[in-house]
Amino acid sequence: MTEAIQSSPPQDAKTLHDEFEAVWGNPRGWRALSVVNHGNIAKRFMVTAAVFFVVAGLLSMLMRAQLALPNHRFMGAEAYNQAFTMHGSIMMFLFAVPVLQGLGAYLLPKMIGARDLVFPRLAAFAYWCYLFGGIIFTSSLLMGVAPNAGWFMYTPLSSNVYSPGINSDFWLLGITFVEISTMAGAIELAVSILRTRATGMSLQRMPIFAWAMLVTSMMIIVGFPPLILGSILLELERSAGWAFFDTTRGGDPVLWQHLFWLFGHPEVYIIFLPAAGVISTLVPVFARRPLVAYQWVVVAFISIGFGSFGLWVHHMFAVGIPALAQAFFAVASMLVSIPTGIMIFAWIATLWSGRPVWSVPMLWLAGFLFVFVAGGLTGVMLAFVPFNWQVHDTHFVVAHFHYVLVGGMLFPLLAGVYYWLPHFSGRMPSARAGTLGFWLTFIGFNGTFLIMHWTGLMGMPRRVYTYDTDLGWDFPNLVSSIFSFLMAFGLVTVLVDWTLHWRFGRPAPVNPWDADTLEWATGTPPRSYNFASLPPLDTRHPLWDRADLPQTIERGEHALPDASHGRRETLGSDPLTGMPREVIHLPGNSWWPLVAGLLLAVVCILLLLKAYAAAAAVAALAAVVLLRWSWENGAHPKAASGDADDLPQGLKLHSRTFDGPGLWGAGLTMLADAALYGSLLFGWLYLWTVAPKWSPPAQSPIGLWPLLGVTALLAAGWWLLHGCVKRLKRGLDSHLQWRLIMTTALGAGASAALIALLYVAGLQPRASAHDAVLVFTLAFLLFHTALGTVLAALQACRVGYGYVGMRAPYEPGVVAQIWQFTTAAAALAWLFMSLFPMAWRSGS
Amino acid sequence: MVVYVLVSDGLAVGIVTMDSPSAKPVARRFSVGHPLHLVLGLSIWFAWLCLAYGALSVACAFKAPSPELASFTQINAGLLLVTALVTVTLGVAAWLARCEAARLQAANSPGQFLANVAAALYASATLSSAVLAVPLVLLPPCV
Repeated sequence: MTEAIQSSPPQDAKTLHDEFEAVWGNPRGWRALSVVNHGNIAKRFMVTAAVFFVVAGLLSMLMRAQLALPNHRFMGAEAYNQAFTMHGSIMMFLFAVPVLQGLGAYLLPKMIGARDLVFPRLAAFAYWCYLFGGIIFTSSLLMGVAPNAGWFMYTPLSSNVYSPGINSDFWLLGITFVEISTMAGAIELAVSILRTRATGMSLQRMPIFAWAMLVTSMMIIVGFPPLILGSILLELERSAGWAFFDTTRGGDPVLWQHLFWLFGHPEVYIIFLPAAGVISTLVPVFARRPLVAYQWVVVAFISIGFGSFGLWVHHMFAVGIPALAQAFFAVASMLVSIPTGIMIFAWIATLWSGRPVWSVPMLWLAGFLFVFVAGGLTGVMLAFVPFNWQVHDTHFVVAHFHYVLVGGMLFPLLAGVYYWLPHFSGRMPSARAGTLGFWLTFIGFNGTFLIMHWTGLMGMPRRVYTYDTDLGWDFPNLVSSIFSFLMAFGLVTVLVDWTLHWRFGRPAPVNPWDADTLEWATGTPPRSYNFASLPPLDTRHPLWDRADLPQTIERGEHALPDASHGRRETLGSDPLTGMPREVIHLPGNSWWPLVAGLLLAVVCILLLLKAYAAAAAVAALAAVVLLRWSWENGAHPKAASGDADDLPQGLKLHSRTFDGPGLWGAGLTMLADAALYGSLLFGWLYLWTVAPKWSPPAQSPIGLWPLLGVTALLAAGWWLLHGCVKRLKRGLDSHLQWRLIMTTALGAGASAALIALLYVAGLQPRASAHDAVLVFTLAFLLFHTALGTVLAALQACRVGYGYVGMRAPYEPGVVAQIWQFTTAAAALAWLFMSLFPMAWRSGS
Repeated sequence: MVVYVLVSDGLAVGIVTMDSPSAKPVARRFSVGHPLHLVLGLSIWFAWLCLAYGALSVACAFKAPSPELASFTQINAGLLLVTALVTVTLGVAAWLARCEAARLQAANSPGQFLANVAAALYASATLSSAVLAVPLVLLPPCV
């Protein structure tokens, strides 16, 4: 079967290109806003991130200007507070993660032999959420009401008692909005890597960058939900007066720290791992040999991915935790340096055993090795609790994390952009300007932050806007400030070089660096559909082992060399072996992502303005738009045009199978949901055992049986849906619509029961953290139950339209996952919130 | 089909080597060639870390032993016992995965990559668990 779809007779490349361009080409003018192609969306991500990088960079220049002299009056305390909060927040949330996801979204389909990402409209939606969220967040600077409580928003400082203005709300709402984008991007990248690889690209043949992005995406899916939960809880506390982090009402501010750092420490590696993937891709190309210890680098990626979650408490050593618990996390912090060391030795060994060629990307790689290793060493120092206490909240810590983040992310990113610039533009950058930019940045960076270690060791605290002249900090601060401007000149040189090369750069030859990976077979610049035919691969280095691949691809000699049916198609493959399973049909350009993003932006603005009724109305409208968008899926004519009989032998369109990408996307979304819900249950148990004024009532206000009843209704609905899928797999679709209608009725019953429980229980979320957590949990269950109900009802409608049934049996399985999760969540809520308190009371 | 089963603390952890594609789905899930093994070991380690931290916090909140006892407390002993069980479990999983990887390597099977990576990751989880036990021997729990 596989052979049948691998080879096709050669065709005229120009005719084939025209045929594909008619289906995949992007419109121009205002209609370009409807484009969903991964190449365009990814470039928008990267350019927008670069703009935010410049904004955050300018803020850092303002801060260094302020700190250059003692008692300087260039900035006041409030402006300085806003500047450092926004600098950190923009760099982390609006630059580092989006630019790396953008790079991944641009490269991955090309590297793994796909024509696009699996959910192109989701990618476009992610971009609009990112853009609008970023604009809303950054606009606070122009209005002088930017967040000012630090990028980690510690409460009670960020609570409405100590930050009564709108500043913190901008952070909580704006960043949460942007996180929709990050989560969507991560799910899309993970599913694309797992399910759309070229024929034969098994896991051991996967490009190392794809491994890095796969691990990163999984980390985002599990790591971001604790922060999303924390942000929602804190915003509810600020805007609605609910008690979560207020000690006087049974809450605990340290819970915020746990939720933040459960996200915050993995975030460092979420930023570093893609950069490590870039380095692992570039080093072999410039060393002219395969990566040494590929397998061990994969092990290191996965170990770091997990290890990073076991370190969150090392940011809280000064909180007052027993020494034994601190020792757990100190040891874990040291352990994570082992896989990092493995990677560094693998890169050095690759260079050592190869025939390295010097180039501008290599300069940045060398700079990375020096800076990142230095940052890693101070990281090990900070893992020692006594030293950590000594330098806590000083400029030493600021210097350390800039060595890690700039060295571990910015330098590799710049290396990567210089390397792939010919791919983006078809032109080569200037080696002279690139070299100058590197040295200015490198010298400027070390002059700024190496000195800052000493400033910190001399005791200068971070987040203070000025200092007296008799403390001995004058000279090091002046030196840091001068070098910071040198670094800024270096980065400006790089940006100017990149800008000018679009006009003056010499045309790039095909595969200008003699690289081994498949993205260089898509043309420079690439075609909108990447590959006219999808090649089979039996090697990790396709362009080194098969130099004629670009030509055979262009002549349509491989799989799916046809677009006359009007569908955007790519191969769906087995996650392990890479062997084809089905043909994935992808949606074309659409306005729905932009409309949905715009409506959510309006919701965000209305929430900031505390116009809650209007926000609820627009949110409902956004939900309608999202559901309308989901209608054009699967077997809908707009989703799969043309006759589906013209497929390669043995393969079906994914909507005609039981295992399309949507199933995987829903599964990963539920994984993220589970991480958020798990964080909520952690918060409940944490407050129950630790909060000093936690005061549960003598009798549980939600009783023992109501949640069990809700769970039973949900389980019955899930059983019905699961039965639908099983019957479809057996070739039976009789009573399918009735079963879905019954599922809808059960969901409606469960929703009504939850609403009644919320009404009858008489919970007081403003009075106690206990009741606040209960109301939030019940609302969480209600939201998911209502969602599952609406989706089941839509499925019943789609059966009527013929979009779901024996011909297209795929969607009920997707909805069943949501029901399964909601049932499990309700059961856990019953266990932890009805049963556990009763057992606790009877035991105490 | 060769089946190895390790029973530890009431929890059955099985690594099943599978020669037949017609093996039952559950057995297939526990085959070393299943990607589950890329995440299982370190997930167990992370779960143990969180549980140890949580159990320590709860125990100290309710019945903190005297600091004079140093590390000779029931809390340390209990956590050390669980640590030992987790470490041994992960170590055996690493060893079994390595054996399977060697077998696949001898047969020149494409599954050797996943088996090797799984073995290394189980070994990594074993080391992480074992090293984290050191403070349990040295430090009092609630000071």
